[in-house]
Amino acid sequence: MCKSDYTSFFSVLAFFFHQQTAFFPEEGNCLPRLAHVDRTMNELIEELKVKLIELLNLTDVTPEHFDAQARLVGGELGIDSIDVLEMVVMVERDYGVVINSQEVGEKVFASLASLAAYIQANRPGGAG
Amino acid sequence: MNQKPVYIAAAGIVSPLGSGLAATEAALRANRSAIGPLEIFPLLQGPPLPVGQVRELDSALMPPRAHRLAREAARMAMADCPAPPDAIVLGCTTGGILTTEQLLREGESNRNAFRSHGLFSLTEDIATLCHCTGPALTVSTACASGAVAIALALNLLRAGRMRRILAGGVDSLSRLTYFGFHSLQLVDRNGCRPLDIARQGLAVAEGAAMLLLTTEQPERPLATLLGAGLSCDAYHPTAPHPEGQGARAAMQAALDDAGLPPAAINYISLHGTGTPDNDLAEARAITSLFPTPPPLSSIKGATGHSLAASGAIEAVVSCLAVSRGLIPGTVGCHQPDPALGFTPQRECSEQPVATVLSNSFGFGGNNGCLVIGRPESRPLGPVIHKDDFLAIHGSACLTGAGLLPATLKQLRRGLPVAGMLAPEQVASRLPAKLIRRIKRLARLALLLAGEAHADTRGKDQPDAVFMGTGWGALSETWDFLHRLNESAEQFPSPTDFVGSVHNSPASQVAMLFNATGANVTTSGGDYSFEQALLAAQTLLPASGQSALLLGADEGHAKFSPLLDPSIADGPLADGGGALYVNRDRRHARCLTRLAFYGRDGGDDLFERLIKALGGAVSIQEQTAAVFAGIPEAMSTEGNRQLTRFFDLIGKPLPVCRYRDFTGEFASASAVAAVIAVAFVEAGYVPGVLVGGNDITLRPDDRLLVLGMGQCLTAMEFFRL
Repeated sequence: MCKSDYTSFFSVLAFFFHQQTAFFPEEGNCLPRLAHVDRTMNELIEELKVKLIELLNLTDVTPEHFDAQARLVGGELGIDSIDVLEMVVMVERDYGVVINSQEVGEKVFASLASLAAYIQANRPGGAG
Repeated sequence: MNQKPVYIAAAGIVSPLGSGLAATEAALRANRSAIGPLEIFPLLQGPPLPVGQVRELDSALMPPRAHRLAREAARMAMADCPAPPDAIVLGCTTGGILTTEQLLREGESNRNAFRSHGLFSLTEDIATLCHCTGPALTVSTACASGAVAIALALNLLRAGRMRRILAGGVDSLSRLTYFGFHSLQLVDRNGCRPLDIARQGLAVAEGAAMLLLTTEQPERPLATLLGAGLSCDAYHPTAPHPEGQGARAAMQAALDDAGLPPAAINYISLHGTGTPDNDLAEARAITSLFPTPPPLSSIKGATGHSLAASGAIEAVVSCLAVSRGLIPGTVGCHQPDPALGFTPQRECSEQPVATVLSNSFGFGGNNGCLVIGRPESRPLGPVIHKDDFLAIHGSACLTGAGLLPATLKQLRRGLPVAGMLAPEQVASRLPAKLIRRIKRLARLALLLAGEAHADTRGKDQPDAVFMGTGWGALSETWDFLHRLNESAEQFPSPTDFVGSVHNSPASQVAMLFNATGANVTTSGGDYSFEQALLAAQTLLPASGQSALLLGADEGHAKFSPLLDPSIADGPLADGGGALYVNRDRRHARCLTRLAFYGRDGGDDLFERLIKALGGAVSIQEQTAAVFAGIPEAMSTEGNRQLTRFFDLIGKPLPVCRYRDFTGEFASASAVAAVIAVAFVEAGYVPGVLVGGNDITLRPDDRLLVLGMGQCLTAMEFFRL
């Protein structure tokens, strides 16, 4: 129903006015160590699946069928700009991680796995 | 023959730039921005964002700030007009919410404290101030409200029964809109820079503006209102169509309505909010419609975005443009964005302006454009004859009993249908993806819309949507404010903000059906559905378009008993009705019209009602039954009114007090309307509902659905 596309909605992400500057690792570090995804990471992914299903009211999705590698925004789930803003709030509130620029946002919300990796790398006292 | 001219006789304006035409003109000439850090309510944390606030008001809670802004603008507009207006049409999105927010924080539980929450209270307040005894209508189509209200007023005047209408828009700043736009990342923390390459969003603002519109030539009119055009993007709850399709359609419709080619426009007053998406989509719409755009600018870098007031404020500025020969600058725009394809006027300049196009666009893809000309300009659009009647081709209702068949089954046994259909039952009838982000009211609206369209058995999808709601999306509004408070103002929900606007349900319906025509939400307390019917019969074109006409309200355990004085503690009722309508009488089930809408007592009110219904004899002989809507809070007055009505026509008619069956909620009259349609089609009214024998309808008979209490309204339903 909502035909919002990936490009137009990410323009919204340019307007974060939080003053905190998030540490964003260099390319190559930001989605790191996919070869040895550890247990913590898997737990975080599973936790995020449950959170997103509830937060975004994805009533026809189960955690088992939530593909962490699939395109998150603008994909089959119908997730668009408003949902991204809702996720930004959740990530800050629940993990203390601020996503405050378009460039960061585009990478972070590419998939649930990339969101988990970003949280992992940037959470206070996290593995980043 | 061309349209009769509609003059703008006078105007009132209160904005962050100042009060009155002179102060506004001076501020525009000085290219002054009135945007500054929020002061009118304290924040729990963080630096205040830039907003546009009206300096002249104190922080008193009652009457709410919006009501006081509206009063000020109305007094100005009516200062030289001793006669009351025949109607009031105001655009408003949040009414007395600033006061409500404070009361909720204080844990206020006295219902009387919330009497000025609703949009209805504000418009009624202005109607009382102006001694208006005609309809006092509230249009709530987000940021297009002010322009849409003026468009509705224009068409009411053209219909010929009214001579003077006070029309405009108002909104005060509130936590809902301040944090709401903030949560959508649509606020520019550097102030507002419309059309600038570095623009980052809008500045939420407040204000009020009113136009006194008249068909009687005033001695010194400010301007003429030459035309208006409405459309809906039917694209996304907040984002504009990227190519500005809806914006272009509304501009084209306004030009057609005025009978003017694009080349006749000398100045375009842009919506120009300063958000990257809006300004770009608007620019694309303009460059596609105007090969060589005329001078254009946005004043929102000076005033901020006063939401429902903005369309009216910019209509007043358009009056200044034609009467003073000035084109305002785009304050805040330092380096025009080359991607827009035109260069806006940066500073205020003097040059002759004969005709202005003023744009307003809002959430839900609601678009309203106005064409304003010099006092001597004459509209060149053709007169299109249409009567009031709408032909009904499909219907649906929703009550505690369920959809129409279940509701009728109960009613035919004389049993009540009051209650709230269980949330899972509502959800089970709608696709999960469709309703993922919307709560009860928008779900009810989608269900009603889908059922009413299905009931037409194959008619085209509707082009237009008219919806009445007494209280709007209470779940989203409550949840937004609750989470805002609970998180100490840190984590307001963007989803709830988007869903909280009164026109969210109607825009969901538009997206469901790709309905790109007019999309109008009215909010008039217990008469909201009647207001939507009046808007539909006034705005639906004479041919070629169909519309969904809806009325719905949701019961909310916390909010409803606080806000609606007719709702007692205990089980709630909610629901609504929907009609698929057009002007094509072939194969129609039934004809309907709003025959009368009056307010504010007076004996003459009943005389006017009876005259509007064709006189006492016609009412006596051709009315099979009366469905009387008497809200519980007005039961004494309503019963007195009903007795008086029967006294005046000479005999009592069979009457069904339908709220006894539907329960108390603002849109109960929409259910009554759908039930009336069903009985007209069936050819009889069950005796159990009117305390007598079954009543058989004869060929010329009608059913009346009367609204009583604070206002007096009459909807007619005819057999064909």
